[in-house]
Amino acid sequence: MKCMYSENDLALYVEGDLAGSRLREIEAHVATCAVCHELAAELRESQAVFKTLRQDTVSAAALASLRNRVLADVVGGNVKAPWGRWVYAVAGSVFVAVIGVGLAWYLSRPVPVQHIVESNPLPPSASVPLKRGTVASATTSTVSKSNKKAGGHDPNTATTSINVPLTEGDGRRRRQGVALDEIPAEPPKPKQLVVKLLTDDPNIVIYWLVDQTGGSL
Amino acid sequence: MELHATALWMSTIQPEGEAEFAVLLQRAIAGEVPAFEQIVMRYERRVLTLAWRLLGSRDDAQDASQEVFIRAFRYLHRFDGRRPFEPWLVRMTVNVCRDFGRKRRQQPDALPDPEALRAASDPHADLHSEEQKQVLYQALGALPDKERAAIVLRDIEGFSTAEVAEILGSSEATVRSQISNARLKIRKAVMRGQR
Repeated sequence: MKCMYSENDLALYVEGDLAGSRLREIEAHVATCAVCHELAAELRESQAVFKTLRQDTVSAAALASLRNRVLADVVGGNVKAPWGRWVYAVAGSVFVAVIGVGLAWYLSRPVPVQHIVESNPLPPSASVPLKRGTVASATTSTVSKSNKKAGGHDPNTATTSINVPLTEGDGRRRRQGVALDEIPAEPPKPKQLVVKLLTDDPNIVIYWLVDQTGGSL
Repeated sequence: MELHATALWMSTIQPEGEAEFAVLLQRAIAGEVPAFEQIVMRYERRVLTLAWRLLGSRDDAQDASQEVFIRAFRYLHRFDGRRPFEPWLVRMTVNVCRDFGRKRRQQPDALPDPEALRAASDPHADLHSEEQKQVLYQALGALPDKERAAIVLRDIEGFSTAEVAEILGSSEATVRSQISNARLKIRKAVMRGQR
């Protein structure tokens, strides 16, 4: 339909679902437009046919059957109590709340801070050229370069840079210059250490990531 | 908004003996089965026919109507006694039928049982009218759920557009769109059936 009014407008118009100026506009248009006039007539006819369904009703037997089923459920106690679902809802909410509070407490509890201080700073380590074929397994930890320049060591700063002087055949682990002023209650997690291996070729420097137990990372 | 809604609900048909019904309702809320039985008897026809038209299946309509009354009994204490009971029950029926429609997708050939349906005021019903009803029920069954609910409530059950919007929880503009679409589809089906 190529009119200024849609079919939906006409579908509302034929049943009086439009009001005011809109109703008067379409009424005037339908009176002059043959296409819309015919469509409105068809809609009125189909609506009249459709409304014959109002005459259909259900049988008394169907109603009696329904009533008996409903009453059997009500009398038989098959109707769940209205608070039945609330019990589960409240129980679930309490459970979630308990878990939430426990998790919040666990996450917010104070964590013991590990302070590492330098008790006996070492002089800058001398790097020893490593001969080819030598197995080097010694590790140690020293203060960082910036701390050395400052003449001391920040006790709150954990050592991050390790310079490993190696001597030929020295396979022992030496622990120097670092002491713990507080022993944590729990065994500390293995710290990551960086082992710097110097070879006789100044252009080749090998960095080795190990933990305190000596395992490679 | 609240005033508008109250006015809307109060404009619907009030059952006769409103005070008596209120007492009946209170007794049913208190758990008196005979009082609830009287409520069922008062509204069973409306609920069952509406469910039938919405679902298009006799068995589904019986099951849905049973569920409607069970829910009504369970939630009677939530009903606002200042409002009419029937729209509350109709809204519940529409919701239950919507749930049933989702669970059991209507089969294309699931039409109301002609033996169970009887033309109450049409003693001269002939084969043509029966075929016409089949066409109408098929067209009704082919509509989307919301359009079917809107046109059944508006054109068959006789609610106003505003009441249909209130029952379906939609705006009046949405309901007008739904019923106009449904009327156009019904028209096409009727025109096809007449050729």
